[in-house]
Amino acid sequence: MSTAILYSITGIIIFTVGLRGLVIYTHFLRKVLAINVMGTGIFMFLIALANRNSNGMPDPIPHAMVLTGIVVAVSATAFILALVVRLHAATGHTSFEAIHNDDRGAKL
Amino acid sequence: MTQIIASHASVWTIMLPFLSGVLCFMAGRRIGTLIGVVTAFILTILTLNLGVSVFQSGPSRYAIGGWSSPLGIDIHLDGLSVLMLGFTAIVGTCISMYAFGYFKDRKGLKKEKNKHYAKMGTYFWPLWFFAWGGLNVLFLSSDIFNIYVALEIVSFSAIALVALKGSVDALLSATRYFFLTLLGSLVYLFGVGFLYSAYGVLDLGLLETVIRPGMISTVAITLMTLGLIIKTALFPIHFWLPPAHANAPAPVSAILSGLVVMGSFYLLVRLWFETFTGVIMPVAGQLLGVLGAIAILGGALQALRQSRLKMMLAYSTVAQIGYMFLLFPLLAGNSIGQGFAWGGGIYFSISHACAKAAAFMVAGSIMYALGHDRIKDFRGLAQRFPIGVFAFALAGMSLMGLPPSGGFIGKWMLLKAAMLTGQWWYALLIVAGSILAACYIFRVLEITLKAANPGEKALHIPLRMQLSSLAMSFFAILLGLAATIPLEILKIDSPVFFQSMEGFIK
Repeated sequence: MSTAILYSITGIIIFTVGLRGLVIYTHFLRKVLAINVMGTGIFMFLIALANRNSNGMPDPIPHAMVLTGIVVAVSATAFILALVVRLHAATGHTSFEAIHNDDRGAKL
Repeated sequence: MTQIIASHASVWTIMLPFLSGVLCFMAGRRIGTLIGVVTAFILTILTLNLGVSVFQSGPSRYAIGGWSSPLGIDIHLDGLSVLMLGFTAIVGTCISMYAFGYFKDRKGLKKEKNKHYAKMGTYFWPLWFFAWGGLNVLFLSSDIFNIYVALEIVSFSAIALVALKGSVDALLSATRYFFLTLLGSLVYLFGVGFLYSAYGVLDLGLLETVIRPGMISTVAITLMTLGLIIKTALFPIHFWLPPAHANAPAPVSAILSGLVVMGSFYLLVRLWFETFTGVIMPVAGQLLGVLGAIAILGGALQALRQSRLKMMLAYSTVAQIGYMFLLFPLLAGNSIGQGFAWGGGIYFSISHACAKAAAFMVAGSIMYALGHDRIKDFRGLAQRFPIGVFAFALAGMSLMGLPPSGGFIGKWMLLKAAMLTGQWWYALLIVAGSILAACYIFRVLEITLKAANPGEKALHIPLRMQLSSLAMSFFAILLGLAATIPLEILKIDSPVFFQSMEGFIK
């Protein structure tokens, strides 16, 4: 098994772990982290792709994609954290379930 | 066939909204509003100009910065992208005019509340132009990774627009919207990674020439389709859409239901029928058709049960998204039916953008005046706000698919495609969905025509808001009266056999 394939498969596994976290955890912060783990999996997969040339020269395009992807991921994380902080300040809760179970949430 | 154009007009349709967005942010509310409205009109003129040039000299490509693909990113102009660009500009201008009135200080409202609207108005304009710019990139770019970035720009501005109100329900809807839409984009990005791993190109046109059936292609297409379905809110991943669309301020609801939905749907159509043709299995189209069918019936039934107008319209969007997805199974048939399916699906999405934007604008006007949108308390509205109710009725005609409206043409073409390809059950479904739509639209109209409850207080709705919603609904009807022009534009460089429709278009 070549290193590139090993890295690709690891990337896919990391993505799946993140997806599982996004689905099963209820705490907002855990969900945010899970999304970031998913992103990391994809980035790893893309970096492994850069090894596709037979002459040993790395392909720069996947690198460019990962760099852009990181910028998007950072802004996304900042944005969702701001939203979650606002929600916590307004309701005192950190998950959809808790907000809905709250009697204030019942009116929503 | 495709020629390199020297004109930079297509680049400006992308640059201008982003530039204005930044300027609006720096200028504050008063000047920002002015910049916004002026930009909207300039963008409309610019895109109409582009449309005329494509109409006269055919499709073209533009290499940004002189770097052509595969290294650089190309802008491609063909019938479909110009049509989407043009309708985004028309709907966008009407929404901008509406927002111009919506966020102004309201007479008869407490100072505190007006301050809230002023604050929303300040942030609305930059976010709206970022979303608009993102949509334009989405329609013009021919690089699947660049499109990913465009999708993210549209989503982030859309989520921020949902959260604009700042109330708990708005924040909740925005948070739910965020998790779902980001999941969608990541799954799409993964698909892009798989495609690149197999073929080493990102350009849509180049991919079309090198893609072959196989494991990796199937995985990539499945991932990209799945991601875009989540973003378009097709059943069963539609649950985030109604609260997000209904809890936002009215101009935002119009942007989301009208334009943002159309954006990801456009991309799916572009990928399936241009880049992935020959690799897609017909059974996948049938699967999307079944999901669309459930969305049509489920969405309409849910819409009937809603007690709030905006919630009803949001569920109606879920149902209408279902109609758009009927394009996928119907296109799998013979070549005569294909032209109708292709034209019908896209025509339907454009008319839906106009009609739903108009309907949400009217809903916003009603909330503006009454302070609520409970349907059962709409008695007497037809007498007090004749323009608004008239606009709602016109938009409703298109949503139901009554002639002569854009919705009618779209549904008629889909019906024709269903009959021509021998999939008559879809024809039955289209009719059933229309009847349900008629039920929920007439339910609202009937109450507005009843005699008013005496002594109810209402604010005066600014004329600007009323007229822009009226103009928007006229467009929804005009699409039915002058169907030839958009269909002729759609024919330019269309990937689907269109000859069969000559008799229809004339």
